[in-house]
Amino acid sequence: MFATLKNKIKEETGEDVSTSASQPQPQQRYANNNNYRLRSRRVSINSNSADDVGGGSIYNESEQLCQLRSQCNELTTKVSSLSQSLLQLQEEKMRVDKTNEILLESVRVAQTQKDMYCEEQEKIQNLQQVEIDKLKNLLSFREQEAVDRMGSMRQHSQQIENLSEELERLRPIESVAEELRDELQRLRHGTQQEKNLLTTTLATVQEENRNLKLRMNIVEESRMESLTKLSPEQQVQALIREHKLLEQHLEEAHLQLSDIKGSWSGQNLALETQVSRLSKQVAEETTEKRKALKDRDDAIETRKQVAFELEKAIDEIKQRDDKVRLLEEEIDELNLALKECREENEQQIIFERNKSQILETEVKDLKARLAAADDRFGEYATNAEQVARKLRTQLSEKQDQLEESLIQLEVEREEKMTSILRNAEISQSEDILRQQLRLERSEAIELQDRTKQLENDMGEARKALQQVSSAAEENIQKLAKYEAVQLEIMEKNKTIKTLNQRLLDLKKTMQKEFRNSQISSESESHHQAITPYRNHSTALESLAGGDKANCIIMDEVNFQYLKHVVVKFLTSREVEARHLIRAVSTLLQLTAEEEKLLHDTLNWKMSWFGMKPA
Amino acid sequence: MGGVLSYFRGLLGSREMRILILGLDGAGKTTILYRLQVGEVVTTIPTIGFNVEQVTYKNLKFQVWDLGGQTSIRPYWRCYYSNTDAIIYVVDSADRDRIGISKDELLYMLREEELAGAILVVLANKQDMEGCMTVAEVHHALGLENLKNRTFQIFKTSATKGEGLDQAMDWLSNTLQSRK
Repeated sequence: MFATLKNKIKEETGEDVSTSASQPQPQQRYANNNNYRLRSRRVSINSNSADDVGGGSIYNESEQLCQLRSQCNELTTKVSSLSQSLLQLQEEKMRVDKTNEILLESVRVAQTQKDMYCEEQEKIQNLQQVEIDKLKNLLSFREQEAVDRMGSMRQHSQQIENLSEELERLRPIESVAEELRDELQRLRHGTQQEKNLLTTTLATVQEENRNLKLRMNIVEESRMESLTKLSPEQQVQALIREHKLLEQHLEEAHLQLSDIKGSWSGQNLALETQVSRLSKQVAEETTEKRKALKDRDDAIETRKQVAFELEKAIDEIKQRDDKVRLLEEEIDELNLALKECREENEQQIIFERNKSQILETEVKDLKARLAAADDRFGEYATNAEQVARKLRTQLSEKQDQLEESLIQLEVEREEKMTSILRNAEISQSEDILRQQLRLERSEAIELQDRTKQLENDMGEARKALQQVSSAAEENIQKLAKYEAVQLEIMEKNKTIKTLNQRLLDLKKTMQKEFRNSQISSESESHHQAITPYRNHSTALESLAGGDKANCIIMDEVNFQYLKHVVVKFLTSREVEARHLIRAVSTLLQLTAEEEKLLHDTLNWKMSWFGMKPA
Repeated sequence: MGGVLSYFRGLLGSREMRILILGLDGAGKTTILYRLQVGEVVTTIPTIGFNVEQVTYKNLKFQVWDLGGQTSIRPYWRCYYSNTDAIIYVVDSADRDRIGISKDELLYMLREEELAGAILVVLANKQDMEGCMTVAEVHHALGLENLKNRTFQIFKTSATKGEGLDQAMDWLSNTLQSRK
């Protein structure tokens, strides 16, 4: 298709389109359009040239003109379609851009999520590590404690062993001590026996000594006897010999005795030294034995304690072991959880990576698409710019026209606004006038009504006037009669006054007479006869009668009434007090002047000006 | 122009209407007065003297005088008659014995010249009591059918229950306003 087109163009223009053919495919399409337009122009030009060559008739020219116009119209429609397509493409580009941005943002979001996951994982790992370290530390501490306990236990057991060994070592010494004790006893016994022997020998020696003394005495006696028989010299010689012999014997015996004594004393000393040594030995051994026993007891007690501690330590070790086991289990669990978390995280990471990869691929695709769209858009733009320039020029012309028309429109609008305002003002004034008219009408109606009423009143008044005039005439007649009656009344009043004076005189004389005569009973009965009559008479009657004496009898009710009215009169508002003047004056029997004074005083109180009435 | 004039006249003409409450002792005059003023039933003692209160009913101001109705102070009623716009005459519907005295007092009062222009409202009170007279009976007993040249109306009321007073006051205020 393109080849045929190229050929056509070659035929028409004689130019090669190979330069444009090297352009990418989407541009070629537009180039195709361009070529078409060029071709059509060529055609028109050719036709024009043909017309020029042919001499040219007006008809032909008009036809050509029509053709040109139609072509022009087609071109404008094409331009509009192109601009629409351009707009669509731009919108598409915008959409692609937006989608791209959205995808980029989603990739960013995914990245950030991934980072967050990694961070969380690291945090969890760190936390777990820290906890494991803590547990390990605890464990090591416990183990150390356990080891310490074991060491102390071993020490205790060693002590126990040492003590038992010592005990065993001391056991033969005990037997030696017993033997020594036995020997001591034996030696004591022996020494006692020897001592007894020596005492017996001493006793025998002493007896021998006595025997010898006795013998010597016998010998001396015999010699004495012999002496007496022999010559004194012989006797003396014999005696001296004998004496010498005896002295020798005695010395020998003394010597023997001293020897024996010395041997005995030496033996005794040796024995005593032996005993003392033995006793010392015994004492030492007994002390040693006691010490050994004490040590043994101590050792037993310490052993017991150590055993108890051992048991304790064993229990503790067991507990520790349990704890350690529990902790180990926890650690295992935590490790397991960690592993699970890791696995999950890894899975998620893998998932996210896959996602991101997918997104990247998508982004790449979109970028590629975008690039393609950009290219296309560039092509369209280049074509559109050309069209647009033309259109702009047209547009500027149109805009100028529009501005002119707008200015005209504004002027007209202003005129319209002013006219509307005037219209509104006129309507307002009309309304006001209508209202005024209504008011005036109503007033007029009222006035008419009033005039009618007044006319009626006038008629009535006239009638009344006639009646009044007739009444006046009657009144004049009555007045004449009245004056005559008044004159009579005056005369009668005078007579009444004189009669009253006479009555008073009579009263006075009566009182005087009463005082003089002092007749009590009759006068009292007379008074009592008068009082009930007075009780019956009411205040009104008393007023009508004009009697100045105590006409109102102040019984309980009347007194209370008077009090109440006076208090109210003094305390109430002026408007109310004015209505009470009559009641007060009636109750207190005030004269007309006094009543008027009360009235004036109240009026003076109510008004703002004026003098206080005296 | 006329509207403005009538408005000012309305301002100036808002003086208090003067009303007297009359009737025999124990008819319920004081109870009615305070029922009108406060809207509540108050405990009362026999009035020796009078009570005067301002009562506002439907934007109308009344100066209501309740005069004691005992026999010895009944003669003083005439001291209060001047400038009276209306009389509320209270009758005890349950007191058949003294209805004649009540009638005499009413007729004696209506003969007074000062009360020639006063509107009369008769209240047949204590309608809540058993065996009381009906409105028609009270009307007949007071001889109201013979009354001439007098704007009057009779109402059955119960001051303690607050029944009938509103109708009476409505009629009175309307009549006073229309007369003005």
